[in-house]
Amino acid sequence: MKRLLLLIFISTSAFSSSEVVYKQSLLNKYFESIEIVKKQEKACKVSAIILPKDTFKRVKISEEELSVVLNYFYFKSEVSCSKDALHDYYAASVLLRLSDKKTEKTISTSDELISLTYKQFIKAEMNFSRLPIELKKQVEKIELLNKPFLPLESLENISS
Amino acid sequence: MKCPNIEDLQFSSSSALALKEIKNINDLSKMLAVATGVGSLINIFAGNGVGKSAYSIYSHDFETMSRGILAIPAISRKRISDISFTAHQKVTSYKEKLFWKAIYLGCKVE
Repeated sequence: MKRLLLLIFISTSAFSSSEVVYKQSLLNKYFESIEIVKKQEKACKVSAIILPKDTFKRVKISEEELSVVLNYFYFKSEVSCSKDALHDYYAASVLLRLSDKKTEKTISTSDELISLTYKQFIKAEMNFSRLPIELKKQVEKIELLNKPFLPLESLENISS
Repeated sequence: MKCPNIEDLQFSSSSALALKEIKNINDLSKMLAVATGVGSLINIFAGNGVGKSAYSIYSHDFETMSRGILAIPAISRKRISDISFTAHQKVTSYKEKLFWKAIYLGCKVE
């Protein structure tokens, strides 16, 4: 009987300990993924260019349309450039949340902060979708718009 | 970039909305810095019957946590810059544009 109780005690402790190790591992992955998001976003910014003045030389575009187009492609390239890092973050945060309900509030906060770029992209995409089809087709062919660029500096350069 | 002097600046409704969004980012950032710190570790141990068995926390765990927490201001800064760019496009007055460009570029008060 004593042996059985000892066995139960040891297995319970081992389970509890491995559970903690598992949760600690998830927590580490969560923090790592936040750091990776930061590093990737920095790398995207470093590689970003100022769009040349003649970026839209073959396109008839108004000032207002230019603003919508730049907004859309800026956020699209930002999301695309950090896609892997953002996906890793979401995987880590979902796993941590599922493993430990007490992390819910913290993760909701970081989700809200990190998802702001996606949120901006969706809004920009909605505005872009309202542009004339022909204009959308023309600007989608401009390769430079699909790589990271500095939005305000580019807007000023193109509008100058 | 040094922050410019902008006198008699009046914010439009779109600027007011952007300022509110930036305040929200600052609040989220502060909340995260507090909540993700030692609190995360305590949560894990508190819910698992501390005292029943021995645990190991390695310096690597603390370092990972610190690097994650230290990344938050840069992530927030990037989102504030994005909001500033969008706000800059929406406003029409020169002073407001100057203000949002300064925020976008991350001007520093010297």
